[in-house]
Amino acid sequence: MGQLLVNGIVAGLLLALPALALSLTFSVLRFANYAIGSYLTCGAYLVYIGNVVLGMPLWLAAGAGAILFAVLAVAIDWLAYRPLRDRSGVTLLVASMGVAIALENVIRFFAGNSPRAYDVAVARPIRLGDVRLNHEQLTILMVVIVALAVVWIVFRFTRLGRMMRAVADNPDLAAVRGITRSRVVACVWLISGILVALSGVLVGLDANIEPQMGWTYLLPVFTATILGGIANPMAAVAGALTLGIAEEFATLVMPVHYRMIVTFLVMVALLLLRPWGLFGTRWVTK
Amino acid sequence: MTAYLIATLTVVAIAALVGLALNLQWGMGGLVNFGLFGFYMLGAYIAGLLTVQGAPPLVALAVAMIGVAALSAVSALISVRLSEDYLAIVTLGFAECLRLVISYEGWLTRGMLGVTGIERPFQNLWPRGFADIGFLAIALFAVLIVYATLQGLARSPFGRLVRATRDDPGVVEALGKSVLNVRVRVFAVGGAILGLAGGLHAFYYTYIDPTQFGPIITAYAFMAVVVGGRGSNRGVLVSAFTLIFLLEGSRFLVDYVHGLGASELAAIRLFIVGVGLVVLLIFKPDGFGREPRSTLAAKSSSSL
Amino acid sequence: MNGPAAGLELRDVVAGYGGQPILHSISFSVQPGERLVVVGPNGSGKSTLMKTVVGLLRPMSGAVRLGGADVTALGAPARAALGLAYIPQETNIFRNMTVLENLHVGYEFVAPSKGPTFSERLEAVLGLFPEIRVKLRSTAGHLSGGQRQMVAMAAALMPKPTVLALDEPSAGLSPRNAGLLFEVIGRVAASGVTMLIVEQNTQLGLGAADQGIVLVNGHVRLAAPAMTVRTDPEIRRLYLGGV
Repeated sequence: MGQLLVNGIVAGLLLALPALALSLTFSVLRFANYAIGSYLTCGAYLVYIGNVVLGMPLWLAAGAGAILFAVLAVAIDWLAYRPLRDRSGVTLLVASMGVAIALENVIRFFAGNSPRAYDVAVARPIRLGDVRLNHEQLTILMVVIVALAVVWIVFRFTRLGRMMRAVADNPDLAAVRGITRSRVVACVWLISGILVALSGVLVGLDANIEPQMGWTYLLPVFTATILGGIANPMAAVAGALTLGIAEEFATLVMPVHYRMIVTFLVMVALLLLRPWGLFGTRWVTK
Repeated sequence: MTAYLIATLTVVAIAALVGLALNLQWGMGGLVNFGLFGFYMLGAYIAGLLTVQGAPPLVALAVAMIGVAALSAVSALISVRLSEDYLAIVTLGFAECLRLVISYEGWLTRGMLGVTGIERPFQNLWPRGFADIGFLAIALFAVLIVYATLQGLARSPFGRLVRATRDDPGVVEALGKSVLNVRVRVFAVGGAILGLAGGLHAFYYTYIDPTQFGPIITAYAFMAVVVGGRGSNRGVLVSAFTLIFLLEGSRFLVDYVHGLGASELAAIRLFIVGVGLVVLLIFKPDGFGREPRSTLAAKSSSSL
Repeated sequence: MNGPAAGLELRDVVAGYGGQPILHSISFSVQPGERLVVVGPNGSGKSTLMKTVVGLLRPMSGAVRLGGADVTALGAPARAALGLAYIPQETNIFRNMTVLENLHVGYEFVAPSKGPTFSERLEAVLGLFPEIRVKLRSTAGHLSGGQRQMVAMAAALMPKPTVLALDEPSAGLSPRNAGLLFEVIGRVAASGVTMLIVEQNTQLGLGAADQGIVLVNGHVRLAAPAMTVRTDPEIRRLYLGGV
């Protein structure tokens, strides 16, 4: 039981960063980015280049790759999404799918379809009583918690954080209060780019690096975000943890390969019963 | 070469059916279905499995159409009170789950081994060596029937209602019509077409396994609708038989271009589809075709 | 900004949505330190006028001048940096942020680095709105309508603007709260800021202003001292519904 809880928390933390990124971009741009799965894959491969091809230590490769990918995310926004900003949300949805397909196939072209792994030393798992925690899980735990803390501090206590929250809350008022929207949008893509690329590294550590890796995370990430109430970034983290733990405990009654079905059922139940999210009530809209 | 042409045309005809289905759901109805490939796969499996159990192919095809229509309707019901963003993720999730179930429930679907020996309809009708061309004729006939049906539907009062629901659901509700009802019916009819396309896929290859069905099917369909012009059935047909034909036809380049394997070529092809979608949405949002309706309504759709 | 009050001028402004003009060749000017109120029936283009003044809507032709400088080409953030503060109608606060954060956002993106500090301005503004001092840590969206208007005004005044634009400040308020709010507007005006007020409540609006403009169907029908507009029975009968 303790082991299931630990695994569930780690699975939830893996979802937390991309869910936070998705919710962040949604809150400011009102657009659900379906390319987020491909973003995750792309980040993982960029870091793979640094780590394996160029021989950097993983932490350095992860840092460099995350920043590089963040810049790429801003560039994609400029090229693909910005010209469509004034169209309907559905148009942006389809465009984001186009972006996803294009990115994923750039990766397939250069890296092929075979799975790869980061160059890290294999270490024995740590035992705490009867709970086992391997080094990858420990890394995930630490990286995600630190990243979440940083984002939370930025959100709560900095000028940049107030800027993003102001635009998410009331874009017109933010403009007349002197906030330039395009700058906020760029910051949002930078932050979510870093978060998604980092989560790509963590997923790659936890499993393999392969072109499909982000695709399998798309549904859980969306579900976690909807659980949190889609425009509420910090609640998305709570949604991710809830979903991770639920998926893990569901393995008691369902085969492991049906995790996705658990996710889907959670999402359907949620959409039918509480479409504003499990934790979404605090977002004041009236 | 002729065999190659026939094969490509058959694949294109099936893709055109998927495009027409999406054009009804998204082009006319404004409902994004990212899980097209799941519904298509379901159609293929229902038709394939029933046929190998001894059901006549046409009966199997009819069951596939009804089954997929019913499940499509259910998935539209799930997102009853929600915006299109949610429908997109629900359909995608549905498709992924379906693929998992088909991959792992080997007792029913033979899992990753796949279903072999699927019988085609009317396969004894054709003289020896003409089986493929005969099947192409069936596929083209199906495209024709679906096209005619959808054209009729687009011009009918129901077609107007569907477009009105897309352009302004509030007005439709105010007129006392149920938007949910329209959405569910649009999804069901689209689902029936997807079931038909999937069934034809199973018949054509006579063998199906889960790896044949992926988001690429969805990507082709969106490409066909965006190029053809949302809402224009003729546009979808034209873009399917030109663009998808070229894309599919590029498979034969494997024999001529050195250093590029089949998977690299597939990656390039899909990269073009992805970038093309974005570029078209930016620079040619109405595509190259035109929705069959009055000019006033056409004007309002350009602001989509 | 921070200097003496600046004037605001519109010259032959035509503006609207989707190529359809709503405002037809509007011209007026507000002298530095003066209060001008725009009144007129529903649908006369008052909100469009306000959006054009603050830069949320670009005019199709004509010019907007702020303190003598042509700002027609500038967007809302740039105009805010030049000392134009705007309080929109109703949704005029960040509802999911605390009152203090609202005041912070009001200050930090507009105020010049050499001007008064945040805490100096906070004290000054809380002096004008003592009612919200106890609410600084509350989520702004949970306040009452009257308190929200106070927060909106306070946030707009944080950077010490030279021109304040108010869009229907009394909308959604009870008559009593509207009266209280206009008392506060009087206090703010006394501090020397130039004011442009769009108001549906003609009695309250004109009572707080120096000059009045009657806007009907996107045309300026009358521009006169507020007292004249308010008391002249002929004007009231013709343009303001005759009550």
